[in-house]
Amino acid sequence: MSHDPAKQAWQASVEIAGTPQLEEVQKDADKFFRAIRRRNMIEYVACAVVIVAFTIHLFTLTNIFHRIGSVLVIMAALYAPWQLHRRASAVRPEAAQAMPTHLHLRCQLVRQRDALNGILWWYVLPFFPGLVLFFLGQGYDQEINAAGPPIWMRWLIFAGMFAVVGFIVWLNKMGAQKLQKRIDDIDALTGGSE
Amino acid sequence: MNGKSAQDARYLAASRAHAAMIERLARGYEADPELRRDLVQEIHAALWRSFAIYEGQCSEKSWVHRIAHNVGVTHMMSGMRRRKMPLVGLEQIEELPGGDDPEHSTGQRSLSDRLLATIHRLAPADRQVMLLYLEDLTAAEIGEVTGLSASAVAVRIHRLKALLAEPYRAQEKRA
Repeated sequence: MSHDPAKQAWQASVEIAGTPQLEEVQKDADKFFRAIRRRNMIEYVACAVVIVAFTIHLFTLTNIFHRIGSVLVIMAALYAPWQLHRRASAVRPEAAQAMPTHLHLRCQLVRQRDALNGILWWYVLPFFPGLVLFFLGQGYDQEINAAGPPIWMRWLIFAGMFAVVGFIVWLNKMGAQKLQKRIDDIDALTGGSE
Repeated sequence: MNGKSAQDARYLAASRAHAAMIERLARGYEADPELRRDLVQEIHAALWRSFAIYEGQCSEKSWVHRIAHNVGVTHMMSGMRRRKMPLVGLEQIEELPGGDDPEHSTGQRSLSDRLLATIHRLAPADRQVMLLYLEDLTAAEIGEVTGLSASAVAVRIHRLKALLAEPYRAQEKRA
């Protein structure tokens, strides 16, 4: 130990510490996989709910805009989880097999980053045509027109939809940036890059 | 020994050897005991992962410090928004806090508390250097861990030494 009193005092402040169980540590290291799996499961369930809801609309609403809109939304709710599975499914760490853990993790981080960066195109926009048509359908439906909110409020809701979409895309971009930081950390340690 | 069990063995040996250092480092990056426990776990998980790629790029001691500080700094940056006090550089700190308080003027425990209070005020790069200096790493090792240039490390160590010697200079003046 050093003779410097500051160093001595600092090192004496904690001289003995326990270490966590190896199984616990490995479980923590798999946190990324488990977070992705949970997120995807939520998305799959959400899409299933959308499919059920718009299938009911398809058979109960008579307005042609509503019906075409429902079909388009159902198609989007089938397309989006397929893309989610294709681009950003959770890959078990064991799937790395002989591949070094860091390379496997880096591949997964890059994959998730790219998926988040492109989310507007493969997850958000596919729902748009159906939802816009569904929204327009309300304007042409005399019953809904009579009972529904005034026109300015509908436009406000429409604008709100865009704002929510913008916010979702922004959140995902932030997520992609965080993943990029983790990729950079791995590259800094290994001296590698894309 | 296959890759996975070699990784486990390396991790276990390193985590036992550096457990106290990891705990001290976590104290330097997180004041809240609950969050600190999470940070320690996060460091251990990162350390285990890292031993899959460790091939003697640097000494094991430097490697463990490097991984632990990476996690610590990331944790610190993500908690920045919670901070009320702005972080400062070493050059803006003139003395260790609580120097005039008689209860704080003696004993290792109180000195470590004062060091910790100073560490918590520091911006990331200076905090890293101070923690590594207190862990008795050489200037070259500090450069290796932080990625700072030799001159940047030297300037910071010079300031640190002056800061840490200040209480003794003040004592001499009073005598």
